[in-house]
Amino acid sequence: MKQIGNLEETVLLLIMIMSGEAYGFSVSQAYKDHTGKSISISAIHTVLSRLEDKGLIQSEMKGSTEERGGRRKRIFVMTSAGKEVIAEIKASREKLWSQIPGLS
Amino acid sequence: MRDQLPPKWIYRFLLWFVAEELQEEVCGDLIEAYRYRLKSHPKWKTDLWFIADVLRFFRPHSFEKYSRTKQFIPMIKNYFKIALRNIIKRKGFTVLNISGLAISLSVVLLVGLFLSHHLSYDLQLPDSERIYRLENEYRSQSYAPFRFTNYYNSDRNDQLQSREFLKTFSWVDEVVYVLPSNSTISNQPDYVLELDDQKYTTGPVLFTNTPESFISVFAPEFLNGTTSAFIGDFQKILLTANLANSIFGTSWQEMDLVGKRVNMEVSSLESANYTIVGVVANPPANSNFNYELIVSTPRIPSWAAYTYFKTSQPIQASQLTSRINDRYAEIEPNFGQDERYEGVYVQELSDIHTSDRTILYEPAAKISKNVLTLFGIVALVILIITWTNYMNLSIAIYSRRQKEIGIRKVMGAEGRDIVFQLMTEIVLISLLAFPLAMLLVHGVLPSFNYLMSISIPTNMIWSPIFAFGILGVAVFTGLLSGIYPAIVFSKRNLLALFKSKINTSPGRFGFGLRRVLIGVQFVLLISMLSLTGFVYQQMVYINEKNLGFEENGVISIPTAGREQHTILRSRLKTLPQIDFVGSGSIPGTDPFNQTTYKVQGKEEVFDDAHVIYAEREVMRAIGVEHPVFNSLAEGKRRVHLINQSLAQKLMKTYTLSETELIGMTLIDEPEYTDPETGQVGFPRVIEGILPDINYFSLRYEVNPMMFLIDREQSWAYNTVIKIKEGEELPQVIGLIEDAYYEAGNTQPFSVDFLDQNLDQLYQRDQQVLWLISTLSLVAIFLGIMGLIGLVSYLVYTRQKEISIRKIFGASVGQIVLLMNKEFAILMFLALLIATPIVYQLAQNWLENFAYRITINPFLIVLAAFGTLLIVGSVVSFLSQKAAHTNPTDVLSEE
Repeated sequence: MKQIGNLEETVLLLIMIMSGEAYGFSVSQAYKDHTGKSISISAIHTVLSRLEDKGLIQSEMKGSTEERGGRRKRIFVMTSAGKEVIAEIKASREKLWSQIPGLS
Repeated sequence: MRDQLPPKWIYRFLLWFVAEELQEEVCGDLIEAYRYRLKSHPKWKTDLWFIADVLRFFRPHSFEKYSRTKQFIPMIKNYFKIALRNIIKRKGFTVLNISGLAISLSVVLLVGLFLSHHLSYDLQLPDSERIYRLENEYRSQSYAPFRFTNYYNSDRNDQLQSREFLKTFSWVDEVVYVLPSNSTISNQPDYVLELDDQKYTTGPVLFTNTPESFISVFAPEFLNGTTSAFIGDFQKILLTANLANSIFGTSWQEMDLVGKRVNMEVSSLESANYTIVGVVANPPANSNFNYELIVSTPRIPSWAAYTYFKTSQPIQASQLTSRINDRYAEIEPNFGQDERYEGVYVQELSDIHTSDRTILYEPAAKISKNVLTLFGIVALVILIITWTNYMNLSIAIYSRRQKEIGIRKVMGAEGRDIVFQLMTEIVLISLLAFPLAMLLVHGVLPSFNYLMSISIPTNMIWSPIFAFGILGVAVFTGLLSGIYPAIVFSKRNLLALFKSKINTSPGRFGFGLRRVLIGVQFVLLISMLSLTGFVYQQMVYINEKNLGFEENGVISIPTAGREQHTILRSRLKTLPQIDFVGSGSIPGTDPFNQTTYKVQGKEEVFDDAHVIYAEREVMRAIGVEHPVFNSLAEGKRRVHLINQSLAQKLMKTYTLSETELIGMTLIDEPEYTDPETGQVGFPRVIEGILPDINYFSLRYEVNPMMFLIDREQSWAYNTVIKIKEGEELPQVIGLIEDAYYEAGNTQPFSVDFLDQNLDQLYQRDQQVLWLISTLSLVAIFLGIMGLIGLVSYLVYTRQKEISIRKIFGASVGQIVLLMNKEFAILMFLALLIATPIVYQLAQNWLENFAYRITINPFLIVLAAFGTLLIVGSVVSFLSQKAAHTNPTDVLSEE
């Protein structure tokens, strides 16, 4: 299993939720909405490129809009490896949860 | 939509550093965020936010990826190759530039060494920031040595009084007394050491009566022997390596020196038996004391000692002064009672050598902070001239290579690559100057040391701080002068690069910058030229000023006492080569202590007069005569005269005429009352008025003086001799030396020549003048070289214009005039800027002298005119040459 950090995991999940609408700015907005903490765009970019290097997500340039001054976005989507990692994390968490005595 | 954009500069910055493949998404995201925030926040806040966002992107992650770095290595090889080829191709040009840069770098290095030498006096002592000197303030004068309670007659306990007092302060750790024998208060530069029945003449001795504190404060480095042997008892001697070398030869280290007994006569009060206990390193060049041996005695053989103390932590000197003065009355009952006793003054060790305070009896010559600043400024001026020269050079280099830049751009080079290449080249040239500069300084340092009478060790050049410092200056010169032209050329669009061989369009860069550069050069040149002129004028003025006495052929030799002097005099009187022999003080010394006085029957007490004691023969020797002196020949024992300054002062204060003044009584030291007779002070009738004599350096104005001229003094410290003009000096001195020993003098024979003393007095000034004028000449030379280069380049770029003008019927004369007009206007502007600067600087420097030239602004205009003449002749020569070229040759090129 690939080692990923907490922030990376959150960003991965956000990308999955946003299915096809995830790019630097939108992820930073979603992160803020979700956690209530703001994050700089450059930090999001770093996380995204790290995830891409690990092969968990892949990207494509598309969809220029007026707000961006006609520039295209780099849209990120999950790779199957990414989905696997998320699933594995979920499974291992649930396994741990189930072992907590007196909780269920 | 326009107001919805972030500040342009930061956006440009972002584009500059972000890797190309990231640009679109990063910019897009940031702009989108910017617009989103703009909906709910004010513009200024959003702008700041954007700037913060951009700055967060500024990290390696966003920079060019390594794929480009891979390309980078071969490219840098290419840059070097091209740069080297260019350097070799224009040999003359390169040699000129590199040597110019090397010269200015070496000047900067020399000035750096000079400044660091003077600013580091005694700072090599351990904990130097906690060491202070205790000084006396008495009768509006400051004394470097601290006096003992009973002056000459102090016994050991009297001498230690101030030390015991200082030690009662909890923050005082150590107190040490030292007396260098070559200082004014000892005045015995040489001693004779008797060792194993051999006599050796030594250089100055450093006496101390507190050996233990001496070791802990001055921490001499022991090459032989141990500290414990020195601190145990008195009558111990530490030789310096120098003296050990000259007595025992270079192999002294293998000899058993420790424990050797020596005989050395210091004074009748001291025992002459000493024991050598070790050898220490020579005092460093930047030390306030210069000595050949350190001697411990129970008493300091003088009326005062240089008193240093060390505190437990650094404290401000002004605070120490007031803390000590608060309790000073404990050891000086007159303090607070008698206004002449002004207390103590504490000086930090680091302040002593460069202090601007006038302090009597300093052990070593000082240098003023003003002078050091002046050197710093001149070095900076030279650097600025170099930078502007260098910037011109880089513009010239680049503009000949526009096509190359264009082709590189076509091949895919970006702005950054062009900048990098051009910078590599310019920095490379500046780096070539670095080793040259180091070698140059290595070569000239011995002569520099000799001329400035300092001794900076040669290996100091190669110490990291100086070597890297100069390397840094070289690289900085390259970067600074190359960066702007490089950026401008890299930004120029392709078509413009290819269009013409030399781009003369007066765009953003080009003429504006060049005009500024020329203007700066003009200002600097005018300033340096006229400053050198003023410095030179002052130098001549001082040399030619009538001091009020004759110095040629006058010598003074120390003598053991009246008896020896009388014998010596009677012997010398028989020599036909000698005019006068007498005893008493002669001019050409540093100022000494002043006295208080008042006019009998008046209230005011003044404290600004010097008293000169001399025999009539001494006055005749220095060519000072007065009718009153004749009464001495007629049997009178002593006459009392005052100088013009004192006469003027009294006449002004009491509105007297000169005839009224003669015959009045002055009371010297009115605060003293003779315990037996009840006589107040020393009353003396004014018998005559002497013209002002410059007894001290021309730095000081002649102050009031009283002359007590005796037929024969009852004491004698020296013998003053006037040798007839035209005599063979060495031969006469030889005769005098024989007579000196025959007269029963035992101390080594030493001669002071009055004219040499005077030279000595102005030596520091002369050195400063010499250095300043040399540096100015270097600056002027570099400046003119740079201007010639720039001007010839400018004319070259306007060749087409000249040809076209010619076609339209302009004459050669008109063209030459046209080219000159611009420089004349610039020169006029430069003159306006330079005049007040020069005036201020010259004024500041001249304030060091009581006797000085008046500043003639015409000289500044003359300097401007001279510069214009040089530039004008270059311009005229080049433009008439250009005007004479066949226009078809110039215009047919494309």
